[in-house]
Amino acid sequence: MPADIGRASARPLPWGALVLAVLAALAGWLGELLPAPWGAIDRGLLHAVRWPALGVVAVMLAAWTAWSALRARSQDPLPETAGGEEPLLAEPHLVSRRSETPVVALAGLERRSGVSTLVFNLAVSLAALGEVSNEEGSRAPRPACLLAEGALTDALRLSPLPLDDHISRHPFQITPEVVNLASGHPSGAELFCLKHEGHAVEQLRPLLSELRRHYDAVLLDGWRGGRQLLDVAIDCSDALVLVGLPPAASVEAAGLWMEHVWGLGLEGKTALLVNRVRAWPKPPLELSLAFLYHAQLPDDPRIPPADSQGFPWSVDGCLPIAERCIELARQLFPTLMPGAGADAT
Amino acid sequence: MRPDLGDAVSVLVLLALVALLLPKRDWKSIPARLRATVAGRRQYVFAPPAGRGELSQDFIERWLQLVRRELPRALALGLPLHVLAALVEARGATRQRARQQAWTRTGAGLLRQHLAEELTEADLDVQRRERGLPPRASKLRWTPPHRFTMPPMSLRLEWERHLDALRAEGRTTADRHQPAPAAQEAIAPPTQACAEMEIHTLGEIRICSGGVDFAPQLMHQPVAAFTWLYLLTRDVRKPGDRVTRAVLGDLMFPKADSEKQRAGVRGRLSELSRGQPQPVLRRIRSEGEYVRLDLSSCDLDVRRVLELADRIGQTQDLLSAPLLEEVQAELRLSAEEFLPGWEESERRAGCSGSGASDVVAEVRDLVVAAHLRLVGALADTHLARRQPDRAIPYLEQALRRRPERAELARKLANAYEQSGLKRRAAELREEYGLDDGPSTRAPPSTAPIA
Repeated sequence: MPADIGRASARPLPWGALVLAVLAALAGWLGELLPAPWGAIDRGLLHAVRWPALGVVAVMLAAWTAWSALRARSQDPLPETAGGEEPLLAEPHLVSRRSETPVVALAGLERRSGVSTLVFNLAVSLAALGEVSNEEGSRAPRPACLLAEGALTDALRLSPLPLDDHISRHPFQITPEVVNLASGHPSGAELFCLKHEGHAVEQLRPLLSELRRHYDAVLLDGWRGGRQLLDVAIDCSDALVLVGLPPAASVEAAGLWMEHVWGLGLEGKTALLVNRVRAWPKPPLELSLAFLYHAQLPDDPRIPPADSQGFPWSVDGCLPIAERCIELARQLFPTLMPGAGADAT
Repeated sequence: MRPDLGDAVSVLVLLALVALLLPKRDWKSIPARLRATVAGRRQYVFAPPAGRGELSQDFIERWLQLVRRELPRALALGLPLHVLAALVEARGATRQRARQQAWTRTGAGLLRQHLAEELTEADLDVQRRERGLPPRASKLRWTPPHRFTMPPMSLRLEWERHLDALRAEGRTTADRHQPAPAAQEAIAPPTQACAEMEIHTLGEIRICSGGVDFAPQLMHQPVAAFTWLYLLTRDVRKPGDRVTRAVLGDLMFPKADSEKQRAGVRGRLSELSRGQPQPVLRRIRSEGEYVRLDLSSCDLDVRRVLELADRIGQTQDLLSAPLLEEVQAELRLSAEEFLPGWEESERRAGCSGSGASDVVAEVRDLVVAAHLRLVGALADTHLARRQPDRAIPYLEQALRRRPERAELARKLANAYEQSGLKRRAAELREEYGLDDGPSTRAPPSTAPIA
């Protein structure tokens, strides 16, 4: 498998170069290899078309140059892109469940897949653009966002200690008091911080059950996965999103997840999201073949600075990734986002 | 063999023509890229132009710069596709600008301005409201509900029967004493001024007069305490109530004949009239055959609670602000037990099983009913004010006391739903077998719970 992936990562030869090579060979054949009278018909044709061809070339070049002059006079150049050629991404197709309180868990296929920032930004998108309607009217949703301890939680000034202490004091019963430990974000999302290998992670399932009773949606940063995440995915999550990167390392990790997902019958609610996709190299095909639901997010050099400041890039309309993130939120939370797809089950 | 230079040049011309015409990138993706670009979802069809930085203001220099930047793209794409791509990119850029302008008016755009400190939090909420966006969710807070002791379930049937009687009695009293249906604000709370004696019966027994608590002295005398508290209870159950000497004799000397009972009662009353504490015992009035307790100029806590519950029951309106404060002030008191330790007093007086406990139990039921009515009125008021979060603790409290009341459960489920706790609402409806269809979801009712 790694050998195939290496082949896929090389930029393919453009079609035009192939045509040019064929034409160059033809030129050599016509001009040098064949003595008269062989090739007389070809030479005749060549003589017939060379002046019109020269004319067309000259006209094209002149027209293009004139058009460039017009552009230079009348039009401002487009703004520069952040990082070279933009990738052509496939339309996202994620799991959509019309659950009353959706629980979505994200897990990374490898380190630094961007799971935490995705969880945070999905929650912010949901809180900023969603809507919950009831008899009294409507309000913005209040999602709970459980972030794994890391650089993002540091930037957001979140500490895992309050939640971990609370759960260590109430090991067998998560009380409603746990909602007081959340940190409120200006968007309306409420943020929790999970300590690695902490008590909160051990009690993830009852914790999620309690949070479902109070919040409109729950988003879980599953970091690199684990037994607790699998339990949650099986028992109470509406969607499990595996986040990978275009390089080949994700394919190997995806193999392990494939066994879990298909073996436990989770394929109906598991999606693969390839993050930081660039124009070249393209993501390995193996990743998209292994799962029923897929999505891609482009690479953008402006994301890491935003993350380091704890700024949700999904609210920045200048970033193409923001719109895609909102589209993902729309597909994952069709009941809470206006204009969500009608094909949700 | 000499190469034919003319033929070679001709071929090169053809080669240039093909190179200028044909795109040398992925042909299959061209339509998708053009669609995405014209829709403004991407900036360039393929790679951006080479070179960076501002273009010169001088036309010739600017033109040459543009040619230098665009030439690699033109050669890679072919001139027709390059021209098409440039047109599409210009159109897409226009749409993208319009979309970015529109973005600033969305919830995400407003939030971005707030995070960038261009908008204050108050301005953010105002802007959201002006643009028709739903209000932001506030930070969720959970406050633990007060825990109250559940009354014994054995009282339930008896209490229900008694409640019906009370309702009928309350209606009769209201008709008799208040012929005109007054507005809620017009119902004045009872005055507590000039109370000579303060009597606390809920949660504790205290009888205070002139800054002295006479309860310990009274409770030290079992017979005096039993008689005094029994007469007090009768008065609470029915204001102005009095008891015959025969009834007192039955209570105090159940196994004696009537003559001995009368003699015994006479002796006891005589002792009480001379006994201490005088400020307390002198309120026992013997009026021929009848004996009663004079509670004039007394501030009695249980009566205050019962009267407050009656006032609430008489009105169908929501609680006014002063009444709401009064209810909140009395709520804790109403949750307490009436005459705690009564059974011990009765036993020490040698009157166990006398039937006096039935009267005390009746008043205790009245207090429970009054408490539920206060709780219900508070919950209804908060629901009507669209404050389900404040109503929920009261409704939960009431449902814990009266778990068999389906209408309470329905009201609580509606409050959960209004508060966004849909799963809780569904669980409660499922537990009580309530219909959760939208047509059955009634608006917050103002009907009293009890």
